[in-house]
Amino acid sequence: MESSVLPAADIGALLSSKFICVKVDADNPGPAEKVLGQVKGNTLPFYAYVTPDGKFISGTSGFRSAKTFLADLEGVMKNDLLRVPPDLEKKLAKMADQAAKDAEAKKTAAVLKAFRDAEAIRGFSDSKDKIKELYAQAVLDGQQKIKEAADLSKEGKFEEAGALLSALAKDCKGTEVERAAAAGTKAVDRLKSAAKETEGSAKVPANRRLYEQIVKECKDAPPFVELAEARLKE
Amino acid sequence: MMHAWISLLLLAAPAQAEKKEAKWLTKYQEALQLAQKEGKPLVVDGSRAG
Repeated sequence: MESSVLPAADIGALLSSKFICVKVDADNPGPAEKVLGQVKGNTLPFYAYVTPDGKFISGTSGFRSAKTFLADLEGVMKNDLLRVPPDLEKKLAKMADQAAKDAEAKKTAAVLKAFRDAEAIRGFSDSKDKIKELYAQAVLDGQQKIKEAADLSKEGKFEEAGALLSALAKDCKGTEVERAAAAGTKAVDRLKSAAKETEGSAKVPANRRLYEQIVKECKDAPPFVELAEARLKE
Repeated sequence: MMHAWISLLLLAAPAQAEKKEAKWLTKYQEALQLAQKEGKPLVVDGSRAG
């Protein structure tokens, strides 16, 4: 299993994102004995699935093909012991519906808040997964706006770029995107200053310093770093 | 610069861009503590050492 099943991309992704994995010596399992001892069968390897608070869920004995192991993992994730309780699932379903409407209406801050609230609820849930997907899309949209702001700056439309980034930072407060928007805002200020110096020529020493500052200090907003690097090459 | 962009991409697409390799711990109690902290279930692999 170690060489053919566990390295499979889909299995690795599921294990790393949804489970904590531990490998023990079956002949000397130590404290894992209490869960491995509940696995039926005598053929190695044993796989025991355990709740975060240590309760045995299920187990298997013997080699599992990639397809079977994946089905085992997915089955464990559907176990009631690991699911969000029904009352909270109802709440999450409502949150997911609202988040979908907010995403449609481009209310990014509301989507991000729904994601944070959903993540605070422990357990597997389809509604949580749905909210996570909406969040991922909102962040991707944020990245696109940073790119748009860099393009506006390239055309000398600094006011528009600044307004776009300012709104983005407000919408994405408390996320990586807010940091990227802040870095972008700093870059816009530098580009604006550079534009005032001899029509923004990269040959002016003061401008070179400003572009170098962008490269050094605005790494969270890569489109701006690319723009500054291009100017430095001019 | 690449690092920042990759971080953002990972953040942006947690469902699609999760780590592809699982980290296997070797101490059950430590793994259980981590499972409690992160609210995730444990997979315990019992194989023969070596």
